[in-house]
Amino acid sequence: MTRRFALAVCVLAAACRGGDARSGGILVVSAGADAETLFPPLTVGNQGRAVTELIYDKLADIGPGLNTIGDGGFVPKLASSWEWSADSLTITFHLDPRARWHDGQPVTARDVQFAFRVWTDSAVGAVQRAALATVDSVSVPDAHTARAHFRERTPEQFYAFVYTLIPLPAHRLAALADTALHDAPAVRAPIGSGPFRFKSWTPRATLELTANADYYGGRPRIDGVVFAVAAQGATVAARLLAGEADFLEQLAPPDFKQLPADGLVRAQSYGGFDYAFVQFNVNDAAGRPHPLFADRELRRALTMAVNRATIAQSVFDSLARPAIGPFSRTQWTADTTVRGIPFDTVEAIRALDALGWRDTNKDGVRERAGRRLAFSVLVPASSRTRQAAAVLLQAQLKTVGVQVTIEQADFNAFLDRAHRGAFDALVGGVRTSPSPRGVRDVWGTPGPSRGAQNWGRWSNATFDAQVDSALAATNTAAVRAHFRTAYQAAIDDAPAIWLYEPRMFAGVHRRLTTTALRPDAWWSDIAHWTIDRAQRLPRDRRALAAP
Amino acid sequence: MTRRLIARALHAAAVCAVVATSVFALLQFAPGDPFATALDGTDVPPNVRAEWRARYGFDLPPLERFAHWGGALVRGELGYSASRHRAVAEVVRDALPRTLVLVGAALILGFAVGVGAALLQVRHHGRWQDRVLGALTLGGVAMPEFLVGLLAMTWLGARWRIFPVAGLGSLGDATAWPLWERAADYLWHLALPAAVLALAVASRVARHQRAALLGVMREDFIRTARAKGLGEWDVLLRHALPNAIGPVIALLGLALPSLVGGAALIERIFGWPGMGLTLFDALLARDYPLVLAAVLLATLVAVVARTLTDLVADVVAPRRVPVP
Repeated sequence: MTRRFALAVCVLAAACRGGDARSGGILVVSAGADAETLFPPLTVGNQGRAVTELIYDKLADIGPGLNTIGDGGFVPKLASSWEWSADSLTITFHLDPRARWHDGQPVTARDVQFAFRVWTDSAVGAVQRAALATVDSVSVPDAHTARAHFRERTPEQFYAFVYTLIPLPAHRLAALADTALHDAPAVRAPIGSGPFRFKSWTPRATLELTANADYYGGRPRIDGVVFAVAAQGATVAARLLAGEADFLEQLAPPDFKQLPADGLVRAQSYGGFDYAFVQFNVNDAAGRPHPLFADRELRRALTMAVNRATIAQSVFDSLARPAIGPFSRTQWTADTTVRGIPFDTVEAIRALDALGWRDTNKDGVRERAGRRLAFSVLVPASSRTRQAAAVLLQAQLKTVGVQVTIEQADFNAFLDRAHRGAFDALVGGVRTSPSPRGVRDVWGTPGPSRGAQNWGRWSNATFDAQVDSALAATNTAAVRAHFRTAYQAAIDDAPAIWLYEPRMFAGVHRRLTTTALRPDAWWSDIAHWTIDRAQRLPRDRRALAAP
Repeated sequence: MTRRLIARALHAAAVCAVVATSVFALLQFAPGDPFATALDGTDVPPNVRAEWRARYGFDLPPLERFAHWGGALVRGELGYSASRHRAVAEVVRDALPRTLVLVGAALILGFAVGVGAALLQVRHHGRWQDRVLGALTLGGVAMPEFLVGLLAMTWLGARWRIFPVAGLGSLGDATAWPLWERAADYLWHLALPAAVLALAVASRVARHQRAALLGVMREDFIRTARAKGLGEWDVLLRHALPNAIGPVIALLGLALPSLVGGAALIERIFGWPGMGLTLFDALLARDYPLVLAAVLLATLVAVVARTLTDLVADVVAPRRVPVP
């Protein structure tokens, strides 16, 4: 017993020493974009999410497995526990009584109820409001119990509620008019419940957070986080490479060539949710078929003529893989065994000949009934990688007698034309979420409940039905099976050429020790990151001076 | 003088009105949507997009919007920035001083270096110093500012770590530093972007100043000064320069609009959140009120600067009246 006690003391002492050696310091994150707002219902981009989710805690957070069905793997946050009603139409959340807002007020069930009202209020215009469409109301049996009532049971109802809704401080915001919530001082200098407190914000320059010493989950190990914003991609990377920043969310291929030989910065791999594709405009906004791409066999022949492995290799070196279909490999519903359309130029040429597309006038471009096999590809000017992919696509299709013209547009104009269907084909990209639900919006037949971003207006009944079945299934095996059939239908029908999936590599300064980075939210565990005391910098001065 | 100032003010108002109307009309023809990028999510329903459009008045016809905007402008309101979730006046209040500091520093530095280089060239006219400086100033005029900026940021910032890469000041707990330390830190961060921006100014000033000085050096009063036994530097500084600096001061007024334009790129490269970066972001986001305010301010600055430089040129170098 005595020996066991002595061992425990030794282990504890070692742990404490380790903790002392690796605690404190200011983490500087080099960011390419600024938060658009610090009000969670209005945040859209990843940067806004990163900041607000460090300031505000959710009721529960998705686990490392990224499961979205039921509540399996979810980690308690503001809610220390929860229970389901027998009919699954009500979930009761028990709030952690230790949880406090940054001004010392306790987090109560009324804050959850208030947040729900804000999120569903059209005057506020919360971006993710649709995710809460199945929630009827939130009731408050007592100060530390919030009850979410659902209109219908869905497999992802728990995920949709806790992943979307962030409790807000009713005692500070309830008195404000809903229309004032966009820019009220209380919103611009938020009082949250999370591990970091808001300190200051100089828009488009810096956003500073400090560790919340009273955090109910334990004080973060670092003293603060500074997001240093720069608009130019080269500047964002240069900050990290010069040692002015400690972390960069994603290293671009050119950044790898510049990594200092002294090991100042290392690359840390993590899962990504991005994939890129060449989308064909199958039908225009009025439902009229596109003169070229309404033809399924032509789409398949063009897909066959494109060597996606070469494109991924040329654009990203080893930092991307060819995409498989309308999903990212990181999603739990991903299926890497689906049959793709293989790269085969001989077969592509045979298929084009069989379709009647032949180069009769020997000008290098095929024709049929007086129409040349020529089209334009729309590319956002902001994405160098998509531009490079478009150039390679142009060269590859030229070898089989297809003329491609590249059109560049700034991202806003690109989206405008995409929404209006004013393009032949475009190089698009999607950042999916842990939920596979998004596939319905991007590839589902355009309609009231799906296809909002199906710019090519491709439609496939099998795909729609299988996705609907998958999203209604509660058994993960059944979900996977339905998605597999849906993915196969999409790949066979070739509404797009699935180009590549970038591999995500964060840039990390050697003085920083991170934990595993979650694909949907690299910032989720910042509170447990540490900075080596022996590698402190002048910017950590306050931390060094602290007792 | 008063009549001249009134005329200038009326001219400035007319220029601003024409610019505002033209920019507003151009923005209407530009493809894009103020909320396209903000609401670029897969699960943003159409009704949310419609709500956002209505909230910021983008559901109104363009003419009605222009009338609203013009009316507000007359009342001294610049509107609301949808991309920043703030009043445009607040955004401008934050950004404008930063651009004025950057452009002001570049002007002072560029003017001083340019005039100094021209004096050296004229002092050593026709010799190797003149030729080397001539080649350097030609390079300074020819090199695009964004390229110089990227090279400076990469080599002097990221590689050799002589200057900070970007930003308004050191990160972390710099706000708790003593005032003098913060001021020094600010100047240290200002140095590289201001120097890059000053390079083109200095080159232009040097070339114009050299030509003006060479012209003056052929005048009779210079021969008289030399005959009195003055040294060559005294002749240059006390007699030639005051008579040759007027056109260069006028040049600064003309250079200011391009300097403000160049500042947009430099601010973007060096993460300096001034009006140039604000305008750049606003254009990409189709944030019309912010674009209009930024363009109007740039116009106003250019017109005021032009007027001021004319006045200063008159004071510093009054035109010599020919003796009858």
